[in-house]
Amino acid sequence: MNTTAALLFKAWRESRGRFLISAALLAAICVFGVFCRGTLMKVIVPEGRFGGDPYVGYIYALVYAGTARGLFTIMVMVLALGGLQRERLHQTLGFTLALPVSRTRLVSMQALLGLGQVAALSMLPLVLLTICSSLAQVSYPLAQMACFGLLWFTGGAVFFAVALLAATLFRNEYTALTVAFAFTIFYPMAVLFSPLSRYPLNIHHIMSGVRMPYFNVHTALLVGAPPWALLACMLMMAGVLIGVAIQITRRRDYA
Amino acid sequence: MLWYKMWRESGVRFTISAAALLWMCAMVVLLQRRVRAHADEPISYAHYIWSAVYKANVLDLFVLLVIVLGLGGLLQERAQGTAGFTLSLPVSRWRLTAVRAAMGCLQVAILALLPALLIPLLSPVVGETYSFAPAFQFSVLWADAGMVIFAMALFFSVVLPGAYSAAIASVAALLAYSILADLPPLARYPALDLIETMHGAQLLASRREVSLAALLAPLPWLALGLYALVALCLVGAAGAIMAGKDFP
Repeated sequence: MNTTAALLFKAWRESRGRFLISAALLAAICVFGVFCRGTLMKVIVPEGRFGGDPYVGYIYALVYAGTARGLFTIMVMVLALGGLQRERLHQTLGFTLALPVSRTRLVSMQALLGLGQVAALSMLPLVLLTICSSLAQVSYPLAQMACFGLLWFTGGAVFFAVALLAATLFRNEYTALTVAFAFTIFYPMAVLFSPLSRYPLNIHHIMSGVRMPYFNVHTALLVGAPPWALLACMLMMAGVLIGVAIQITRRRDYA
Repeated sequence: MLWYKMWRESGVRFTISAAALLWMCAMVVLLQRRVRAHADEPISYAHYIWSAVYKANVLDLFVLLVIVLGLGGLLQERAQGTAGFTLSLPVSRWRLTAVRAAMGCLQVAILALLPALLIPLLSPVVGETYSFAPAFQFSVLWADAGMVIFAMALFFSVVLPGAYSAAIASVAALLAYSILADLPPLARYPALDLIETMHGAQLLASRREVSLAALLAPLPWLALGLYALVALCLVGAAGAIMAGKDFP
């Protein structure tokens, strides 16, 4: 096993429980959402909320703009926690730092695996909704699911990067979690201030399409091409935050 | 001494939570003109505060922060190799759990009180008024329901060993509960819907126009009593599990 694979395996062993629970919870919402739609639709999309196909509006309200998206946001932040600060607390840091690899590689591999997990969680609704919808003899457009998956991945990458930075900055794992949670709610409010308010910076809205030019609120469908420039900016922001986390880890004295 | 220990363990989390809540409430008040101007239909200031603080953003933040306050405890100390020191203290495990729960409930109550103190005081700065009475009513709802959420996180932190397992389980349980509470068999009993109670659903006859007068309805004491009982049961169950646990 080469170094990269070994480090990825280490990161996987540390986060697999959280990842599998997150996947199971998201899967539960999608599966129960489709098969229990008869009851849930009346509660989640009361008549008249969306025009067009009621099932499309329902899946959007439950998954892509509702409970599942909220859960996804929280879970990707929990996935980013851990790392060297936590190992210091658990007194296992010495073993990790004694490995013949740089700290940059340690954190990079943790971030790489985490982003892979974010991508997997983003695409999970696509897989499950496709299968469950066909079993339940209803349909949700595949292109819509792919596009929402892309939006979730880019938004999730930013939230993941924020939590990774918090986990790098704060020694106490719960402090990092508190800061990450506070960010998810604080940030959308902060972008209402001028001059930020002129730009579409609310990641929650970008992920769900709410108030975005690429979303039709009447049909609950994404329209036109995905906002590539916006998504590229978000990925760049995630990259910068991960880079900052790496730099902090490199310079930190763990004595 | 135990109180001081519990405070030292959760003090940073509590301080950050309080700062985040205060900052969020301040932003909601200061941004009121801009947000109300972009609303789909004109809304009163009281309605705006209700929808931004007591129904949406700030409430979500409060719930998440309360969950984080409930994390920690002896299982986490064991992972960090410090459980032995705590267990060697001349106090029973029941007392450890009880003091931890009491400190947490106190912190939850203080967090719940913060919007009620800040919003009425800050509203005149933006040329609006919001009286203390409805704000304190919501604080009572938040504190009581918040204690259930705290007790649930505390219970999971006693049962589940992973550092983040309790947080994940609490979020999942709340989401599942909020969906279940909306379904027909349970929807008939609004007192059972924890989140809706925190929204003040039982205070508001009509959500289309929320006025200060509408918010001055009597508090749902039956639901609040039920929540307090549930919180007490969860803390009791956590204490019993902790007392019988083997820490080799």
